[in-house]
Amino acid sequence: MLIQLNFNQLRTQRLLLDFTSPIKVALLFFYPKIAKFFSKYSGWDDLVMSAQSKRDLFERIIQEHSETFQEDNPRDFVDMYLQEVRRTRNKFSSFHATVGSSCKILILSKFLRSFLNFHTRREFLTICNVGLFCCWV
Amino acid sequence: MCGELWQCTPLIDAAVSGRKPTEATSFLLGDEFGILQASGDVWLEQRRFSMKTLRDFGFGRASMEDMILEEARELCDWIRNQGGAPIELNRRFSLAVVNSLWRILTGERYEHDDKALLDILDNLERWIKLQLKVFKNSHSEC
Repeated sequence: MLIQLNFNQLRTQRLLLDFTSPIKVALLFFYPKIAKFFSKYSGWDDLVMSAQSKRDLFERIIQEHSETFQEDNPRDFVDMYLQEVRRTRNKFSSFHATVGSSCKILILSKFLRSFLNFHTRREFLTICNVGLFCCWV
Repeated sequence: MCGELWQCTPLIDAAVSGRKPTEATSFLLGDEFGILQASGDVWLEQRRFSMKTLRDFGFGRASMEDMILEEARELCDWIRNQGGAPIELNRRFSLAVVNSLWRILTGERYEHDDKALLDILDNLERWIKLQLKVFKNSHSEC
């Protein structure tokens, strides 16, 4: 639990987790082969770990929704997305099941941007910048 | 490019708003699907669907107020229980925001001290930090 964090400790934790130094970012995004070769030092391992844990989380949610899905009673966004995938017959649509045969949806929200900017907005209760990022793997 | 006109015109032109996937972004964001990494028709279709569905579930509407109030109440209770000790608020505000949005997306709600919610937040913070760093570097190189 992160309650009453010691600021020094927090700073230390963030430094330890930091895989975003300019050199590392340049390696990761523009020279991925070199980054993979020095995976431990370039931040590639951290990137993989970060992406993988996110995927695991979303896959679990989608799996649970798929198992309890009811066509006529969508409960939330994931259900609506699954419904759209099942309804889509147009094979050129990005919702068509063949685009991702496993029909797993990765959901990540741009809403995070809203919580990042939130301190300057004051009104976090009126978040108006939510977008979703969904994709099939 | 100088001047508002020259800076704004390209930003609203679909022809220059494409996304070039790299190995790292594909790994993080999932190839060309979704919204963040998509362009053209895929982006339009996904965005249209997302906005419509979010509104159906109350996003940006009065029906979301109860959900937000619940989060605000828990946040206020937590602050009250700290007894005037120094606290870090950034994370707590973020938890409340993420939680209310997460509920629309997945139907799940977490307590603010729930490890699952803290893990989600950690993950997302790191991811956004990386994204911001990339954009910052890209701009400084231009």
